[in-house]
Amino acid sequence: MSEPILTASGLTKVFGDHTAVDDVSFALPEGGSLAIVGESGSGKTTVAKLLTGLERATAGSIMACGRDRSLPARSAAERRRRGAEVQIVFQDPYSSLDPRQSGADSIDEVRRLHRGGSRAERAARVTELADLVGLDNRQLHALPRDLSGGQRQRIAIARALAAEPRILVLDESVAALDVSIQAQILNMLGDIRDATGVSYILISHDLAVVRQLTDDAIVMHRGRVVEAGPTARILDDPQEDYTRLLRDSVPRPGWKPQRRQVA
Amino acid sequence: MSAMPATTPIETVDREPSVRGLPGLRGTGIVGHVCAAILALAVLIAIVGPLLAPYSATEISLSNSFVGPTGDHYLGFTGQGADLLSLLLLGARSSILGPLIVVVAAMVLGVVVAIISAWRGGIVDQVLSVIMDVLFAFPGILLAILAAAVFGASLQTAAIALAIAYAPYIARVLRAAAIRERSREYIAALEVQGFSAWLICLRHLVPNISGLIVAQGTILFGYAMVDLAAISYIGLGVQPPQPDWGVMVAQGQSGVLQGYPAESLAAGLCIIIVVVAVNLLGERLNARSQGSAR
Repeated sequence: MSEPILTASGLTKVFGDHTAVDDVSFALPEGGSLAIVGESGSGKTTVAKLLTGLERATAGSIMACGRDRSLPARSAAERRRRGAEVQIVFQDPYSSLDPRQSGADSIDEVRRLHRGGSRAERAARVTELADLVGLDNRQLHALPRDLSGGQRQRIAIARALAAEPRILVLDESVAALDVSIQAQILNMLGDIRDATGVSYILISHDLAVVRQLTDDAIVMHRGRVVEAGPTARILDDPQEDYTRLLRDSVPRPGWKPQRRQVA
Repeated sequence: MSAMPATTPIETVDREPSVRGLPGLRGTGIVGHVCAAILALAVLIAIVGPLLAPYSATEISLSNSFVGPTGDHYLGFTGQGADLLSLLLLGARSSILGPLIVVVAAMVLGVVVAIISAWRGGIVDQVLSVIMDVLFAFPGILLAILAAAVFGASLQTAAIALAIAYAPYIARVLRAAAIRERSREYIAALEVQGFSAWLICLRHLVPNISGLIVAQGTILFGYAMVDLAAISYIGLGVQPPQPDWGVMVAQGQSGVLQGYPAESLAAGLCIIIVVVAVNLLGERLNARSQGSAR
């Protein structure tokens, strides 16, 4: 087995007197994909913020691509290097794009920062990325307000990929989309992984999404990891009560809502 | 299978073609356009007024004191015997330049403080907020009088003092907008990409609140104009004989008492027209920037 491309060990984040993330450890193998599953408030989004450097961990360390990123970046070059290692796609496609900027412009801005190149080279690369995420030329040059949620999320994914990161954090990235668009985006993410070899951290409360895209999973509850292992095993044969509860609360064919007995 | 409950069609919100941040006039209505035209005219007069004025401000003759309109002097004379129309045309420059200095200086100060507060948050935000709260305690006019006492009375002193007094108002409004914008995920996405904070602010944050910045600046212009006129009126702003509408209101006082209110009235009317136009336009720009906020 190859060296993990991303390792978190003993990750802890305390806000005031609330411990949002408590001693979380995991490893992501190169080209692999890891799901972080849990209900709202379980601390999974905080983990995403720690991984991308948007929040600073109270304790613990993060290694990505063989380099430590537990502390804030000291220099502009370091900041850029980190940006080219780990990228993120957020949940809400309506606020994750600058309303004044077309998709082409925001992707180009990222290319200019990370890879440079002439205007023509960058334009060619922007078109390539648009093809990768399935955006046509009109959508690529439209302002976000003229695009649907799914189209915006494609732009957000293309922008995240523009820096050619080794790791992509997907923070509930398909949760705001309707089911058919979710499936399209998930298939596309699978294809992108095959094409680019990027590794995924998929943060989700949706077990169906998790099953489709990931090999391994950790289950978080109240900031702690309660179960870790291969995704299929966790979903089919959960060892922990909380995981079982999480799985059983998903509606499925034949599922009947039970009326709560009022005493 | 049970019948589907009747659903009311979802109302689609017709999104106006967005004008966020464009300092254009779309969405301000006929009133906005008329106000903008009046302001354009006022600015034009401020620039070319000296070329249009038929007489100079120093061409005075006491024998013409309070003489009414004549064929060559359409608005008659002031108490000191200067041509009233010429004084109004000449006075436009300092009357409009003054508020412009206030607006530009207060906006720059206010935007910088608001962005730093919103970006850094925490202790930096708290310290800046306390400083702003302390500045709130000083009325603009009082600060201008103090400045005039220390640095000598002049338009520049008064304008800069007013700018410092107004900056907290601007900073407070813009800080709230900047915090809202700062919390949006596209800013976080840019941070993760590795863009520097000042680049994100300059290229993304400030342009996205520019609609509000323009609106606030416009409203401030009206306030500044009235305050500067008041400061000139009490003799601590523009110094006579430099023509200025505020000074003219002051100098026309004796005429008012003697039954010749033309000078004070004419200058006062000029101030009122510009201020009302600015305020109406500012309110509309403000409403537009609120309406187009998502």
